[in-house]
Parts: sequence; C-alpha cells; structure tokens
Amino acid sequence: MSDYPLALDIRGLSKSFDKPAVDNLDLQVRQGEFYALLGPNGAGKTTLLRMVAGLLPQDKGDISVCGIDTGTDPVGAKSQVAWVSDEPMVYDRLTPLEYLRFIAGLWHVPAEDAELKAHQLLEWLDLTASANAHCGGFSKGMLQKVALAGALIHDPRLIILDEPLTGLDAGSARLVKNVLKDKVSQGVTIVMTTHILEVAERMAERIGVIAKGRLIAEGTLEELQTRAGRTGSSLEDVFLDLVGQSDLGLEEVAAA
Amino acid sequence: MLQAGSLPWFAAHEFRLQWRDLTVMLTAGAPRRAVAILAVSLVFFTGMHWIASVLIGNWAKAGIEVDTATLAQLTGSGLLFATMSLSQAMESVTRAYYSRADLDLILSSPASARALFIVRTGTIAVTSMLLMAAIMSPFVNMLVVYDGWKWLAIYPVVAAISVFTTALAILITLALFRIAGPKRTRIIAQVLAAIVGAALIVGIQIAVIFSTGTTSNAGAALSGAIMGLAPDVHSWIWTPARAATGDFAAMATTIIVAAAAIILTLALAAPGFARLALAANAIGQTRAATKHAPKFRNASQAQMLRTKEWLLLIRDPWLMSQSLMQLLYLLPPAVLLWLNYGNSGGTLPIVAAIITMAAAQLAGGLAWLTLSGEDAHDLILTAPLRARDMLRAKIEAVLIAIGVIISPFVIAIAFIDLRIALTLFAGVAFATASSVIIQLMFRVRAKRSQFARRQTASRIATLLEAFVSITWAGATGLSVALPLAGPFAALPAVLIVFVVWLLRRKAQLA
Repeated sequence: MSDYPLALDIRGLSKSFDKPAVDNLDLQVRQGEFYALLGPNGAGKTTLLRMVAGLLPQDKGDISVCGIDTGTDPVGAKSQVAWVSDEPMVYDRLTPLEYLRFIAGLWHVPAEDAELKAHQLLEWLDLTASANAHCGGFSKGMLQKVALAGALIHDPRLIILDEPLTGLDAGSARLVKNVLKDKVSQGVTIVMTTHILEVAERMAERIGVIAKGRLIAEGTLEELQTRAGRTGSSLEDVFLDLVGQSDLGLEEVAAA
Repeated sequence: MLQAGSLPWFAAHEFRLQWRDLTVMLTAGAPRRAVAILAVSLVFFTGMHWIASVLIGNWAKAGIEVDTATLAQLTGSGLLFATMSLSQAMESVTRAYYSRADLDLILSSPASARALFIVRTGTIAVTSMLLMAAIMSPFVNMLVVYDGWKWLAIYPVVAAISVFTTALAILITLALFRIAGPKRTRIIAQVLAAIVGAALIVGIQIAVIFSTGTTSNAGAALSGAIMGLAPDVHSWIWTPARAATGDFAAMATTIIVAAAAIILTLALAAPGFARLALAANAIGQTRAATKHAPKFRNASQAQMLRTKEWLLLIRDPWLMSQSLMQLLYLLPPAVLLWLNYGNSGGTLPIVAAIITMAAAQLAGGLAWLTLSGEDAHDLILTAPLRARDMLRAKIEAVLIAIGVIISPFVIAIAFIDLRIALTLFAGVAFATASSVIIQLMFRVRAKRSQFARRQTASRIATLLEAFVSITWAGATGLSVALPLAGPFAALPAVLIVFVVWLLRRKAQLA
C-alpha cells in the first residue's frame, strides 16, 4: 500500500451538461475507508464517480487517485481503480473465467496469479458451478457478482461502486456486502453510491450527501445526525432532512 | 373511440409506435434534419428516375410486347424482389417471436395475443411492401411514362409478393420451431434470412459461370438458358408477370393467391403465437457453456482485446452469418478462379473487383462490431490503457481477420500472375483501410445486438462505405486490366476518405 494518505482527492470539480451536474465539489477519502455517497436522483453522484473512473472528462478541477493525478497520468490512475456500475459490464458470450482472464490481461495481472485468483473469487462469490457457462443466461445477481469478481481480480486500491446492490436478491446482496467489508479490512478504499440507506448506515464509516452537484454534508452518521439536529434518528430521516425532502408526500397522503 | 385490445386498437398502437420511430429516425430531435433528408431523398429519387430512364427508356419507348422474353424478365425481377422480401420478412417474423420489447407486457395482459400477431404480421407485410415499392418505383414510373398506365399494375403485384413472402416467412418459422425447437429457431431463421437475401444473385452468377466460364456476359447467357427452358406464353407460371403487365384476370389470381396464403397462415399461426413467444422467452433461461476452462496466459493488452473480439464473433452465429455474408459473394469469383485456373487473364479483373468489394464490406461490418458494438464500453474505458492503443488493437483484430479470409485468394492469383496479385493486395488493403477509417470516424456507442440496425443508425456512414467499396472495387479491377488507368479511378475514394477524416476528426476533437 502507498503511504499517500488519501485514496481519493477531489478539488474544485465541475461538470456541466445543460446545467451544472457537479458544481465546484471537494471530496477527500482516506485509504482503507468505506465512504457512502448519497443523494436524490439527478444529484450528480454518477457523474462524479464517472469522472473519477475516467469515463467522463471534467470541465474544471483536479482528481487524484492514491496520489496519481488523473489528468497528467490517466493510465496510472486507472490501474489503481475498479469501477462497478448497476448495469454489469459483462459479455454475454464469455464465461466468467474467460471474462476474468480478459480483465486480468487488461490490468497486466500475471497469468499464474490471475488464474489462481479467478478461481478463488469465483468460489468466494459462489460462481464456481457456472465458471464455464456463458454469462448470457445469468440472472442479474450472478452478472453483478461476475462484474464484482472482475473488479477485484486486479487488486484495485480504490473500488468505485455505483448502486451495486440494485436488483440483487438478499443472499447475493449479503455476499457482496461481505466481500466489500473484507476488502476494506485489507486496506482497500471503497466509494459507493446507494439508495439503500440502511446499507450506508451499516457499512460506511463516513457518508457524503450530494445535492444539485454539491457536497452539502459529510461525516459519520452521528455527525450527520447532529448537523441535522436529529440525534438518534435513522439515516433516512437525516438524509431527507438534509436534502429538504422530509415532508415529501405527507401532504398528499394526508389529503388522500 | 377504439375498443381497447381489439384489432384496430392494436393497429393504431402499432402505427403510432412505427410513426414515432420514423420521426425520431428522420429528425433525431432536429426538425430541420428531416427537411434536409427529404431534400436529399428527392434528389436521389430524381437521379434514380434518370438512371431508370437511361436503362429502360429505349426498350419501353418502342412499346413492350408481352411475349415470353418479357414475361421471363418480369418473373426474374419478381423473383429477385421476392427473395429480398422473404429475407426481410423472415428477419422481422423472428423478431416478432423473440424480441421482448413490449411482448411480455402484452402477453401478461388480458388482451388478445392473436390480435397482436395479426397486426404485427400486417406491419411486416406493409413495411416490406413499401420498401419494395420504393426500390422499384423509378423503373415502374418510367415504364408508365414511356409505355402507358398499364404498368401501374406492378404495384399491386409488389403488394401481393410482399404479402405472400410474409406468409411464407411465418410458415418457415413455424416449421423451424417444430423441427429445431425454440432455442435454435432464432439463429437458423436469421442465418436463412441472410442466405436467402443473397442466394439468388450468387446462384445466378455461379450457374452462368458453369455454363459460360465468365460472369461478364451473364445477362445474355442467362436469358439464352432461360429462353431455352421457358414454357409457352400462356403457361400459368407467368401469372404474376402477366398481372404486372395489367392483365386483369392474372392480377385477380395473383391477389387471391396472396390473400389466401396470408389468411390460411394467420389461421394456422395466430392461435399458437402466445405459446411460441413464451417458449422463445424461456430460452433466455438456458445457458450455453464451454467444454474446457480457459488457459490463463501472459499476453499484452492488445492481444487480450483481439482475442476477445474474435471469441465474441465466433461464439455468435447470427453475427457471424451477418458479417460473413459478404463471403457468399466471394463464391462466384472462387468458382471462376477454380474453373479458369492457369488460363484466366480475361476473368481476373472481375475476380479482383469482387474480392476487393467483399473485403471492404466485410471490413466495414467487422469494424463496426469492434469499434462501435462494444457491450462493455465502460469496462474498456476504465482499463489502464490509452484510447489510441485500444483502438489500434481493435482495428488490428479486423485487419487480421480480413487478411486470413482474403489471403488465400491473393496467394492463388500470385501463382497465375504476381503483378495482378500485388495489385489485388493493394486494392484490398486500401479498400479495407477506407472502410475501417469510415467506421472509426463515425463510431458510436452501441451494443453488438444492434448490428442489424447499424445501417439505419448511420446512413451517411453506410452510403460512404458503399460508395468507397464500389470505387475501390472498380479501381482494382481496372488496375488489373489497365495498370496505368486504374489508380486514377481510385481518386474519388481517396478524396472522400480524406475529407471524412478531416471533418470528423475535427468534430471528434471538438
């Protein structure tokens, strides 16, 4: 592991489409930290993470991954990062083993290490029985687990997950959460967006709340509760308070 | 107000969807684009009328006599359009059973699946009808101008052919369901559709080669052969052709046969549509598997990307059939080479032109698959390699595939004449490079499954690719025959590729 204290260092990041999607945003995540990024739909979470993963160029600002500036050394930065989105990036006509071999090749993992690791990951993720089946017939949960195996095979220092639990059954979700916890315990940094606030509440060390492209609050659950003046409340209440949606739907329900 | 779930209600729903698809395709959100497309279409349509006038003007002006030769010619044209229409209908019918888009929604509703099937069949027939009519219209209109109104009868015949081929496509698909089962039907039907689309032209060429040794006098040889076998002018075989000349009785017979075919087919197929569509849906749950675990070898990123591209292509029979369909067109030159080996000076320009054309078209298809049809764009983009290295590896995958397919032809010709082989090699190399550059400059973010719709997605790229392929094919053939003149014929292609490179590169950088 590098001695650089920050796995992710974002300064003054901006990106606009028709209107600002990310607006002069600063964010720092420490090595080995589990960071959850929350926000309502269209808040700019995915745009932010896509810029970190090198999928979208920023208009302004700097991103540094484990001390590597993504602007000056994009390839070096990418070699430290794994990106998992809610739509698993898997090829229908490759088997999980072939998929892992392909990713290992792209990330320069030596073949012997990659083969061993691929089998371990598939076993870990309960995919061994399907290791030589084409991914085309897999369920959403299985595809997501294959994608996660792909993200882990090159030992990334920073894993970015955009809604990784969407569409997963309880068993698969539990398995993915365990894998992520294990990675964090090994010093890997995880930045994850999720709409399942309970997951963020249980797993994240720090939580960032983003709205209209800006980081409006950040801290541990207790810090956020204090800030929202809702000590002891659930993250859901705190979050809705922070993004100004706490009364959402109540009037309609009352009227009905 | 239409009753929900009724046949007219489904028809209105389908028409609305088709209309919106067409509007979006034409305008892409910018109404001015539609005006531009209409203007270009008008110019193209006028140009096609001029070409039709040049091709058939003299023949039609003299007054066309309805004899065996005319009927054979009309029947031949009808057969050509029928194979194209059947090919398109088979593709559409397969989609009707297998495409999930809104099928699950409708099948899970209390609405009648039978009504939906009838409407979708009608849509397939009408689409085919309109396409065929649009392709034929310059020739039909010129026949009307030069030889009278009776030639308008071709349009109802085209409609009858479209209806009949739609019925035939449904029957073939049903037969495949019964023989091969739902899992294999899709792929077999799609491969068959592609082969049917090309079979007539390729078959005629091969037949002519066997009878004359060359394709250059194909028309004369073919008409000679057909006329020798042609039945009497009053034979029932000419019924659709006679209908096209305005013969009322023949017209009525043709329409009645087509209508009967579609009615009987619908009666046979519509009740089982929901059952078969659900069976087709269930195949998504089955899994293909490889026999052996893959070997992990140390390889460069480029090698990994190339291997991935080839593996995905080889594993997808439908994509294989679609992209390698161009190879069907290589059959006639292969036969020609085989028959005239060692004594083929006169046929080599044609062989060289066809091989160049096939290489360019094949390269265009493969380049689209590798550059645009990437199912995991984000995965590749997040990998630690430079964009240009990624593009280079993908282009190499295309070039190596073309090299493997075309080199046997070049080597065979090298044993006959080294200069011609080198000329062919150069022609193929330039044509392939041109197609790849066009696909590179017009690359989009798409899924491999959208391959069949790539031509409608970017008409400019398709037209440019076709123009450049034809130009390089002509230039290569000419270079083989007249070494000094050939390269000049390639100038338009070079110019177009250069302009595309300049303009699109600027656009991409912006």
